[in-house]
Amino acid sequence: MTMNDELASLGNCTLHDDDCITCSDAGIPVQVISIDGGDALCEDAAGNRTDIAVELVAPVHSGEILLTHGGVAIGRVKTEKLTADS
Amino acid sequence: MKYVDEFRNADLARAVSAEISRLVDPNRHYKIMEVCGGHTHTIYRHGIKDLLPDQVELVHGPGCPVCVLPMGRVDEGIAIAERPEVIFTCFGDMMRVPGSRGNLLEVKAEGADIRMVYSPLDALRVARENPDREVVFYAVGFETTAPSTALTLQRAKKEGIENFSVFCNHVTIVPPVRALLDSPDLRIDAFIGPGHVSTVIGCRPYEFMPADYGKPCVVAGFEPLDLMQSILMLMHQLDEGRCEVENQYGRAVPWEGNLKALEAMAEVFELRPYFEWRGLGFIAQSALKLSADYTDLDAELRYSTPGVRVADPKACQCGEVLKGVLKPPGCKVFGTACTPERPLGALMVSSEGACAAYYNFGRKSFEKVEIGTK
Repeated sequence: MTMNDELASLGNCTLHDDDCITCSDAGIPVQVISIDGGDALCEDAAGNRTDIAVELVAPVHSGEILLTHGGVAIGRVKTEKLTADS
Repeated sequence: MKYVDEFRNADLARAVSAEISRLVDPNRHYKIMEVCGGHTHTIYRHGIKDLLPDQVELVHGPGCPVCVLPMGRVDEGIAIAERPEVIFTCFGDMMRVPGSRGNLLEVKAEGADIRMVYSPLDALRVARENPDREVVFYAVGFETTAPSTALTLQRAKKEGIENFSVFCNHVTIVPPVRALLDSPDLRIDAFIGPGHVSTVIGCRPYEFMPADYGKPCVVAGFEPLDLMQSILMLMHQLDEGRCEVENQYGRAVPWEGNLKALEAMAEVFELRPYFEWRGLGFIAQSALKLSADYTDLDAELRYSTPGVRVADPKACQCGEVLKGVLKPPGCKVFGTACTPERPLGALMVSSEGACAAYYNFGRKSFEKVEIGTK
């Protein structure tokens, strides 16, 4: 399994993670591959792909990183580095 | 392979741990509540407790949505699922939550058409594919999950799908926290706010904690260092006498939340006057039901659910654990009559439940304490 470094740095959840597919307060970072109306084909850190509803974060663009929960994008993710001073 | 290295870096964790220890007043005991079940899971899975000084105690809050669902609502879901015309859909964890007559998994084994879905949109797809059946989605969850249900209902309405309905059990995070703060049983010094709930609702709703109760709150992410940093931020506030809402999880939580998601929720849902929480009792305006515009998609109305109230098993002490007055191993049936394989109480069901998390990841340190005290 190869991990997308940028997505992996945002958290350990993937679309196949048991902890993340249920009703917990989990969010899965995914990258937008292509957009089709209100849905977008998205890929997680492990390379799993699925359609995600993106109306609640529209407009979205290919390459953007979204936070998804229950098959719906609920937010965008900013990348940041954590340091001892932060 | 790089794997969340910044947020699991051992050197950084040790540095944060040392800084927390430096800020601790050795004569004081600090109680910090993590509201969210996802945080509870991270704390046990990664041994966060062992990185904290003895004076800092983490108390597990009510933030696991399947754990706080009362047995009566489980029974009502099962009653709908048993109807021959119904395809009943729900998230995986919900399948094992015990009602008074068993759980959905057992009802499925007896022949009911119950299907696990990863999204309410999957349930809507099942409805499209089965126009001669009634498809019901068992909606559970806090404000993280409610937007997906709202969007699904908007799409169902727009497409005119009439064989789909939602049994709505969505709850909101602020009222139970307020109820806990009003509880005389509990003294909490500070709160770790939920991460992805806050992606939706933002940080503003927590301002009542410092304003009305004088309690600091830091909204936190879910990696081990997110939690360590959040605890450090709370310790800084307590040390400096500050009391405010801070956002540690800025990479996923905008201060104002997701306005589009909030608009969708406002269209589809309205607050219930009151709702029963397992272990916490009835809390005013703490849950959502479908709004007047969506009553035709409301399973509660379609199947006239009676709203029965069922008491928890007497041996079950989920309520005390949910209120943070009892640690999981302090429960009389923890690890004996109640295990993840055969849960008696809801907190043992979900991996985000405090008891299941403790059972799976926390027993080692508990056993260490037990052996040490003998």
